[in-house]
Amino acid sequence: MKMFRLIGLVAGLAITMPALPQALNEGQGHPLKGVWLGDWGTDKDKRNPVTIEMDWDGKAITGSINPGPDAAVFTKAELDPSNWTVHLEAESKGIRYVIDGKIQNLGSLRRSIVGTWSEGNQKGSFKITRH
Amino acid sequence: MRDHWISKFAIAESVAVLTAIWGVPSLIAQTALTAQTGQQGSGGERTKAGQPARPMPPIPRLSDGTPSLGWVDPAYKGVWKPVRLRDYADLLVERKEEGLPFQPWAKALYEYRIKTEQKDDPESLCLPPGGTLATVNRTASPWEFLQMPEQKRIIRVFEGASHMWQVIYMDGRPHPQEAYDLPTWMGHSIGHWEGDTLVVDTVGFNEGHWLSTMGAPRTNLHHLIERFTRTNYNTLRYEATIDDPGAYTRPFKIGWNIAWGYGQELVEIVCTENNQYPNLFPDEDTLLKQLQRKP
Repeated sequence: MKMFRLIGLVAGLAITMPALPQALNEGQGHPLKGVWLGDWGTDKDKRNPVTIEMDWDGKAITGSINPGPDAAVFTKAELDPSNWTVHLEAESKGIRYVIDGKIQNLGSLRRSIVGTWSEGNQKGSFKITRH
Repeated sequence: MRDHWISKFAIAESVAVLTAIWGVPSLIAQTALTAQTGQQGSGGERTKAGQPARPMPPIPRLSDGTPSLGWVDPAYKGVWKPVRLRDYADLLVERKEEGLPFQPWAKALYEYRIKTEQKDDPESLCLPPGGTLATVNRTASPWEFLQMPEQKRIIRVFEGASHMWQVIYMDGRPHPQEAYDLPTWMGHSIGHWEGDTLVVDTVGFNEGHWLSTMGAPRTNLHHLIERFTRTNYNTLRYEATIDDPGAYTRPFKIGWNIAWGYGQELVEIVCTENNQYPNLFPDEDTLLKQLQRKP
């Protein structure tokens, strides 16, 4: 199982990494747009790497968790600009993801989103940083 | 970031000093007059020294009849000299009472940037502005057009920011798909003449910069149409239609006049040299002393 996750992560990075050099100097548009790397876990010693890719077409936020063959595509994605909170929902292979967080250091290209992460029946914390 | 040295002088003060020292220039005085009024002098104005103002030259034209947006006679050389204009809400030419038509996230981000005093402004990191921000950059650095009708293109050269230039293709080509697939700081520009107005259509901006120095955001969906009209020798009317459905609810138009910086030439500024260029120039007191020594 761990090997599959590793392969998925490598595949995801292979897809998203080409976009990184250009994305580094961008990020002044919609605050969620870009590639975000980080981890989530049920406690501080048990962390799982995650990659989230998000885009903005002027009307809706689209994207997925761990892009690649096992990507969990967003079924719902919302940003509340009054307090910069983010709500994401995704589903893949019967596993439902619910992510609630808040953007930190909004003006920085290396801004982060921090909050709670639910994956199936597990719940923990997460932090992802825009790259 | 320190100001460009010439911008340390108010126009009127500069005219007064230069006129008092050299007893000339009438055209400089007219430049100031035009910048203030946007109207071409009638020829009846007088300098502070009491001399009659020299008539303003007509708008120069190229051999193909199109207006020169630069200079033809070296005696009247110069560059376009923008002033600092931070908030585009003040520059709206239509539906001004409605303000900028932000989407909610764009408005919140704009307000955040104001609240944090533009501390994250990419231009302060020497990243190149594009679009309207290249025309009215935060340092009010001058720029000029280089028209090359035989090559069917116009180049705009910017003194400030990151030693930038903009190529405006005048050969009738459309925007290529690459402009959208590989967005850039300056985007891809095509142009044409509508009478004496140069119309420049630009797409393919990346998201590396802001729309205004105040902090209005822009996205890669930004489509910019700029109109440049030389209304007299010393004045360039600039109007820009901003269509960015990624950040705004509808297109909007801004406009203002840009004054001719008579006698000026662009100098080299490389922002990435840790912004040392102001040290190339004397401070205001030294400059005044130098001017007073001039025969």
